[in-house]
Amino acid sequence: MKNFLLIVTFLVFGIQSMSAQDRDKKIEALKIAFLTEKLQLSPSEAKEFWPVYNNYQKEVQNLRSDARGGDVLENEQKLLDIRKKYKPSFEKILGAPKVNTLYNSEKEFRNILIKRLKNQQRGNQPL
Amino acid sequence: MNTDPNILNEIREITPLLADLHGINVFQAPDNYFQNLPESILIRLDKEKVNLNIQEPSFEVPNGYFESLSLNILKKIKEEEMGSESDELPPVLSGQKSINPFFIPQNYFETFPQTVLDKIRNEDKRETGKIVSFHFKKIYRYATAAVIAVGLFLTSYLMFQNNSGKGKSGFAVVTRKTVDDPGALKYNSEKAFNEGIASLSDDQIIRYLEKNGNSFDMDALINSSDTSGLPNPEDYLIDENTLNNYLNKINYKNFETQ
Repeated sequence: MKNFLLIVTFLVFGIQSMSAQDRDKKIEALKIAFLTEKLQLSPSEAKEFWPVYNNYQKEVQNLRSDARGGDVLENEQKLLDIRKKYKPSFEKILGAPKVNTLYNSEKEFRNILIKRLKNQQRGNQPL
Repeated sequence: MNTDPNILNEIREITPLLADLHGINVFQAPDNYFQNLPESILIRLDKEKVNLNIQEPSFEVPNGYFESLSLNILKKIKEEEMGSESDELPPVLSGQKSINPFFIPQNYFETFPQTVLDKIRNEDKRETGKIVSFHFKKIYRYATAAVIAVGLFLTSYLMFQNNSGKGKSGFAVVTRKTVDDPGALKYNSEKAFNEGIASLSDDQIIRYLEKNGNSFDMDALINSSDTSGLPNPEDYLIDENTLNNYLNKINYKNFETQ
């Protein structure tokens, strides 16, 4: 009986953590769709672009998790450095005008999220 | 009963009409009224008595009533006992009262086994009839299955069309070949994208922004914060816990980690 309860508990927690991951994936999926639309990616561009972009995103995320509590200006500089570092690779795949679109679209996407947060803040929260 | 001249004067000042009406005592009786009252009442009563014509109750008893009384009572009781049941029954059923329901037709038990066997044989015949109706049911079953199959096919076909994003305004470029995450294929129209954004929870967005935002976004986040729920400045003076209450209300722990 005890074992059974233990298994059930693990299952419940497992499902919960899985669904949390899935939910985070949902925003990623939305962002991918959004960037694809904004950049009007062609299949050949997409094939090269996404691996590079995923690396770029991973670096930004790592910086953000490392930078917590560190020097603010230094962290901002590091972030800028990453974006500058990836600019040539993006340019090679997308062309210079689209790189600007990319960085603007990223910001735009965040603004969409912030707007959503504002509109439904502490109202009904769909999960 | 004289009216006080002062009061009279006062009344005259207010309304001369009322003052001119000399006090008439309405509770006046004619002369010798009470002396003659009992007599006049009696005279009245005498007159009415003639009209009343009161009947004396007559306690007459038929001849030999008391001799047969006990017998009559007993008879009545018996009748009531017998009749009480039929009285309660509706007229239709009271007619049936005398019929014995446990009645067996002649030679019932002699022919009983035969009738039972006959019945069973008839049942068997009916069974074969049922098989025919079962065939009909089978046809219905196939029809239902076909309808469901067509429904499923149509839905999946439409969904596939959705996924291929034909004829959609915006997000038409979101296809299998342009995104690396199959999850993103869902958002191949502006409507789907907006619905996807709307379905996100606050927690999800905050977590995402923590992970991916750059610091410039914080200005936007602050500027777009909802301040409508903030307490009034006076509330801070009235209750020292106002700020804590507010922070608890908005679940500030979401922001604490930043």
